Amino acid sequence: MTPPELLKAMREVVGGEHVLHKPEDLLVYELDGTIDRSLPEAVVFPATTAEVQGIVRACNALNVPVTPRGAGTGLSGGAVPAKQGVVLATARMRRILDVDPVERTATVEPGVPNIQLSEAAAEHGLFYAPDPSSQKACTIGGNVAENAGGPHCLALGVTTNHVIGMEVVTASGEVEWLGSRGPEPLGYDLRGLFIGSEGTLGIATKVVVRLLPVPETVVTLLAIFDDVESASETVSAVIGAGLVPAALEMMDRVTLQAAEAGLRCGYPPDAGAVLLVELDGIEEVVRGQVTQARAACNEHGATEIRTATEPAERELLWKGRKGAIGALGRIAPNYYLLDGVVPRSRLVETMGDVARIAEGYGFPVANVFHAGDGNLHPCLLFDEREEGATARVLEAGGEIMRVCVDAGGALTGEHGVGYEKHRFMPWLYSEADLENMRRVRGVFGNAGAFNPCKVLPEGTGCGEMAHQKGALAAAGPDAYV
Amino acid sequence: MSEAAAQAPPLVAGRAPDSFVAPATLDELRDLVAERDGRTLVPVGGGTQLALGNAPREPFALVDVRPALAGEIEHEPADLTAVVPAGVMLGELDAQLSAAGQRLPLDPPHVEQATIGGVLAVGTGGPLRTRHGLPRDFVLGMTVLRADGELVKAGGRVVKNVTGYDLMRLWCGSLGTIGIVTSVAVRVLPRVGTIDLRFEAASLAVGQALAETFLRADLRPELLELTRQDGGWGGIVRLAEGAVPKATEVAGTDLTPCGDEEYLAARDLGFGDGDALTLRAACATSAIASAVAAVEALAPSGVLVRPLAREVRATWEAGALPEAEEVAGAAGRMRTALAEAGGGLVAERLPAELRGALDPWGHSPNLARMAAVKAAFDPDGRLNASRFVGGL
Amino acid sequence: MTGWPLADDAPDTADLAKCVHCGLCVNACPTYAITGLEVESPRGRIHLARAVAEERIPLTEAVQGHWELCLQCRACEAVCPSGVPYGRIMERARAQVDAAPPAKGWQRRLRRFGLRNVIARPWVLAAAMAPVRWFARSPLRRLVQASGVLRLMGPLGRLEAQLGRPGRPFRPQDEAGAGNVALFTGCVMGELFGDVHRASVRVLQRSGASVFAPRGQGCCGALSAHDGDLEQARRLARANIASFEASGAETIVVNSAGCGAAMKEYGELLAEDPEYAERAEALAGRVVDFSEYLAGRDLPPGRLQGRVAYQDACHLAHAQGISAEPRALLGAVEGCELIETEGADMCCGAAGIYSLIEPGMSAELRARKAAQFEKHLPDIIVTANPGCQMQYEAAVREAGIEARVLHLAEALDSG
Repeated sequence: MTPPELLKAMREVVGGEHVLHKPEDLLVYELDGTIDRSLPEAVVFPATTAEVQGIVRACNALNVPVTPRGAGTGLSGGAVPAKQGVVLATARMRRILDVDPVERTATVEPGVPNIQLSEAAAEHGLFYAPDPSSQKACTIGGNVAENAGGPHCLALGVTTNHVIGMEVVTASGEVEWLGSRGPEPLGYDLRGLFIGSEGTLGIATKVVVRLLPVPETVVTLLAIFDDVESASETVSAVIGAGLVPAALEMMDRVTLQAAEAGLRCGYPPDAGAVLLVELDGIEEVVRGQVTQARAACNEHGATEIRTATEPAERELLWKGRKGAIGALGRIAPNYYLLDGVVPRSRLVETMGDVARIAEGYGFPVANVFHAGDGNLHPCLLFDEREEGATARVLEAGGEIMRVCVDAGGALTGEHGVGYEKHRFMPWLYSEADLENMRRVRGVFGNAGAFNPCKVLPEGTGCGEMAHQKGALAAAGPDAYV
Repeated sequence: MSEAAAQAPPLVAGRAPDSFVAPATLDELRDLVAERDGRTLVPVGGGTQLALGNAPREPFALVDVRPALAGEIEHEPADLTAVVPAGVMLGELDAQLSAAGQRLPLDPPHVEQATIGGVLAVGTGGPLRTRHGLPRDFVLGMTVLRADGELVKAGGRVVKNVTGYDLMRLWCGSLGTIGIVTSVAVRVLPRVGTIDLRFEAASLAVGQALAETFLRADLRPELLELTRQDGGWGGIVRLAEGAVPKATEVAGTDLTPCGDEEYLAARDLGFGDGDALTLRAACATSAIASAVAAVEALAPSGVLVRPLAREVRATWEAGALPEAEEVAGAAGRMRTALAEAGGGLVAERLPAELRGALDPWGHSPNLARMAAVKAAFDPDGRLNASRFVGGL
Repeated sequence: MTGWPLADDAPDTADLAKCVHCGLCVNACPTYAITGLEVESPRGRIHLARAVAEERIPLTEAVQGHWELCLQCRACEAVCPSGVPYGRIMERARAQVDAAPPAKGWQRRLRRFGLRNVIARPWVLAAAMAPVRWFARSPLRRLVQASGVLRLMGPLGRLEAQLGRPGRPFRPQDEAGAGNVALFTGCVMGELFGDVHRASVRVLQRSGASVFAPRGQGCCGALSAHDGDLEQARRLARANIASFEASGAETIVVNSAGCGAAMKEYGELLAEDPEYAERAEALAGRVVDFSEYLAGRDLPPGRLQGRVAYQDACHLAHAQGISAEPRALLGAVEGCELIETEGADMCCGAAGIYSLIEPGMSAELRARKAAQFEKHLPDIIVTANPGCQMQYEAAVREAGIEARVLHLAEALDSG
């Protein structure tokens, strides 16, 4: 049950109707897009910076942890309130405050969905570059927290390359602008430090982004290969030819079969891998690049190349890629979507290791990757209703992460460390490195109590988050009246 | 380690160091940093930006980090990455990347004489920032020698990575005040065929409009520099070779192919031997014209505008300096005006007679937070003390 | 182990397990768009259903409330990457509510009585609708509107606002074998939207079809299914299956999106019925939407002057995946300037009998449409479902603009 003094304090800040506390209402806020879960004691919906500040200060005074939440589409448990306490949801802060076509910037509140920002920019012939696969739902605030990427970040960079300033409420409850609407803030790049801090340093309450002119011409190539090796060689050849495509995506056989079954994309039944190459710019330049890319595909055994220039045709080629992960839901009840990075030249070898690990655990594995930057997304297929399957799939995921690290890679390319991987951090960083990172938390105050158990391994109270079935049932029916 | 006193050491922001040392190895450098002998340590690489900032707290030692941070470049052409010891000169790095048809598009003033560690510590971009952004945008990972002698790292060597806090961005542009960069992993790009074109513009507005036209036509200029010339403005733009016909079509003015001289002149403007005062303004697009008018009122010897990077730089030669009060007054007014749209003004070179009258950095609203950063990583103020924003 | 009181019609565990709570549905959900609460989103509702199934929580009034607020517009299904059959889950979840401690008990009983005894019985419905038609066309209506008494009348007042000017009823009278394309006439649709049916017949004939309205057909059962009264829905489905089988029609054209979606899912509804399972599947395969039937057929273009805003009917766009066809058909009409308004594919808040049960949410969604109409100033608003049509009548009035609301069939019939 929500402690009465907490409930009272939250209501004083935002009013009674913007605080959730009934067990039924809290339930969905125990999870995001991944496996870990933990129930909050209250969910609070501020509408203004002052209310955000009020919540943070009141929680700090009561020693209650605060976990920020956007749309809850994250894939590392970042929005899961690991130590319970208050979930601070940005759903009421959804205004686009300003789109400035002269400066090519937009100022938005953190709860604005990524796609709405791009739609608003489109009216001025501009767009917002980072396009995570969840862009129809995920929020800009969440993107800032996770330093989100997307298929098109190969050429254009991730969130940190496109957010120029933010008003934040720090973990200590102070309001401060980091960066600004201007191009180059003075002194330490606090903005750059804050972006990607996974909501552990504070909450962005206004975000200023830079917008880019919409490309004149976009050409999408879809090349079909017999196996992942040929497709990977093609990726190297494309890069070797001096091209930096807007996107360079690959899918393996299992993924293709699922996509074909669920989405009917028209892939040949024996296709072993598909490569999507997108090139953009002015027609005169793109034309030559398309010739180069096609040549690279042909040289490395593409059995078929489809080319599209019109938006509807391009969308068709992207359909299989964009719906691929979800389509896996049609061949298995659950999947565990991983996010690892290796140097691009180690891609094929790492995939072999991934396949070996998955086989050892008896899980089928499907692979989708941002091949251009070595960011792999193996999906382990399982059924959570099988006894112990969830625990084993998490274990297999850990082994795969280890393989990525050993190949000179990293634990996450875009999903964040979150709760999911905070324990793996010592694989990559020494105790001195981690202690050094921990100092950053101190700079923004309230070290460790704000979105606890995320990013950095912590000493106490961050053990396994259990499925809290037992705890709720034990509360009995009286808890619900 | 040798006290390199053979030649007179250079001044740092107008002040002479008490000593000049050049540790031969990383271990020696570590020992020096950990020594806590009360001296401020001022790390220096190529020394292209020694005039920047406030004078360091005394007594201070100038520490040439190049011998200690020299080493092999690990270039992985297939991954488009390179791991570079911080003491490597960018000229040397460029030569090695070029051999594999790749490049690191960073070009602050006199870049070939600068070390990669120094360029990142200063954090200033050059003409190429128009397309490629600031130096920090190319950093994948870093190892840093902290003020207590601990070597710590963040990031990694893969091109996409969100594992842990992005300390690289904190270190870049921190002017060595919270650690000395010892090694850096960078993202590199394929070298592509480009061409530099020269054009003339009757006014700044015309030049700005042309820049906007190029951008909106999706021509993706790598750089676009406008420099003040007698009776108007001259510009250069660097485009992919294939983009030239369309550029000519949309420009509505003559675009003439030109050599490297124009580019180098724009890149190094304000950093010549005779340049005594150099101001750099970061301004919103809508504030560029008024910023230019403000500096022109002081009769500078050169003015440069990067309209798409929203930067203005002006310089004055030693013989033609305006009065101190005039500069200080104008800079103060500019700072107030620019701050409204999130801009600022930095004095990159400041002659002795102006120090005291003009804070080289200007006010930051984040000073308290920045002081907390400094305290977290260099509590005793050992590294470059007093030199940075707000005297940090 | 299950916390469902009515085990037979409980949401399928496999259906529930399909949701991987990725959250991609939340923004497509109209009730989330209005409230910003994830408990009022598809993911939240499914998570509650799972929690009930797993006996983590009992089936409380609060749980029921979150399910009740769902419009069942199925916009979430259209964006769900995992193919979660949300509509089916929600119908079955609601079926449990009867057996559980009742929330809004009397309202629910009244609703169910109406659905079973009025809507589903053609003669009762006809008798009930006759005075409504009379009122809608009589001079008395203006007096009533002017008097302000409607504001005091709650749901009836709101219904008045949605009422257009209904023409003569259209009831199925044709003998079996009178044509090859059967028109489905429905319940309220035939009584209050006879003109739409007549327009549909003319347009279908223009495309070369031999259209008839076989007698013996009745309500499709969608309203009952959405209400969780699956037993009644199955009863109505069986009656329609038998009647259309006997009619000899090759194709059954449906001009009401909600009915079409329900009939295409007869196979699922009767999957456990040994006598009807196969027949239901076969009939469902013969059901096509009006616009689906016309797409690609040779239809001499009509004429329609003005700016036309097409508003997707949820059960056409989301449940049946048909959104391009109506626009293409309108685009071919001479003089028709097709405009797109933002949120054209978001629920208008009519949602069957939803506007009566959840008037507040319904009004908020209608206001969004009204704001768009005010911004884009269409001359004509076209949709493909009777309930939506009524809601748009009210939205037009709310926006204070001059615009006609037409069914797609009426729009194609003009010229």
